[in-house]
Amino acid sequence: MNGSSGVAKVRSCLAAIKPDIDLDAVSDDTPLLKERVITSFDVLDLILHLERVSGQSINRAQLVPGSFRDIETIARVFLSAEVNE
Amino acid sequence: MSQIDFDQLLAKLSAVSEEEFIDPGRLEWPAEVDPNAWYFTPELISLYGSDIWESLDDRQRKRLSLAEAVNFFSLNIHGEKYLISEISRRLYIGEESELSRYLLHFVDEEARHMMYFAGFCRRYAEKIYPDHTVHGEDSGDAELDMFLLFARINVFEEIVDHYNRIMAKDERLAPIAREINRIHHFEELRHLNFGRNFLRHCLDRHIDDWDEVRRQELRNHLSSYLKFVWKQYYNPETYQDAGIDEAFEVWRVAANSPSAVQHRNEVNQKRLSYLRKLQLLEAA
Ligand SMILES: [Fe+2]
Ligand SMILES: [Fe+2]
Repeated sequence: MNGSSGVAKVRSCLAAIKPDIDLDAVSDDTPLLKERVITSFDVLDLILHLERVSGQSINRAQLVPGSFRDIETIARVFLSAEVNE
Repeated sequence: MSQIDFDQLLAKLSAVSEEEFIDPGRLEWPAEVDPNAWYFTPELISLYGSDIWESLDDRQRKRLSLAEAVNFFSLNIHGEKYLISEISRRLYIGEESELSRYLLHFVDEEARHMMYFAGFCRRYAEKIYPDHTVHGEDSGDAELDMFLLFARINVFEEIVDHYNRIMAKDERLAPIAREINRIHHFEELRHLNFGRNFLRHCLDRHIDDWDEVRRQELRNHLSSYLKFVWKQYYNPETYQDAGIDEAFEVWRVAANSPSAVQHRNEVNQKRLSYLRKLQLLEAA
């Protein structure tokens, strides 16, 4: 498992929770909350999808706005355990 | 609403809180779960009316009702935990001592609610479902942030109270489940009364300086928050704990079933008319 597939997984999670957004227009470092691609209220669905793809429960301490800054950060914070597999 | 009228309401609410203290230590807890009892009103269960619901037998539905009660109580615990911390840091920082006096009762009551909700979850499920909330950052405008805090609390409490009110009277429910809903409803009536009046009081004060742009932002924020509140009522872990196959797939479609959409619309219509009257939510 490498970093780019983590990013692809985050993109598939985002597509599942927000089918109406144009993900091609969102780069891996676009600030998601700041640019209002998602709001903090969308995060609940996103977390459940991330738990599903990672097969792991999310640690409550990770649930701060900074963890959801952009696609790259989400992949690193929530899916990085897979990198070592 | 004038400051004098608002202070009078606060003094009255504080007096009632002081007189009608509910001690969670007096609840009588059965030693075990009764597998033949309902713990959540079937018509309020998140899957009610869906194809999955139709495929479950009576025993599976009752098992799901226990998991749904644990989810409902868990989401209350997390909501209360958040509001206790947010309200507490705003106590006794200004001149408004009547407000702080009442808010201290508010916090005290929420702490006691958490005791019985957690008591139920830990006794009968040995778990509290995790909190998946990420809280947005404050705007930096203290009055606006306080207004939004209480507007969100009001939305949250109106929906919860819809459930409490129905379950408090539902004789099909195990007595402990009914009683918890009954005592929570009883105390939340004051919180709802306070919330509605606080919001109106703030809006009156800011009639000139909160322009239409700001008011539209408030509406957008609260309308998104309302959707978020409802999401918490659908939990894949709940379905898994109830022994439902493919719980994640069930969850993915649960909120979109026609009966679920209709249920949310009805509750919103019934419980949020005051917020719509204040133009704090998009029209239904
Ligand atoms: Fe409460
Ligand atoms: Fe409350």
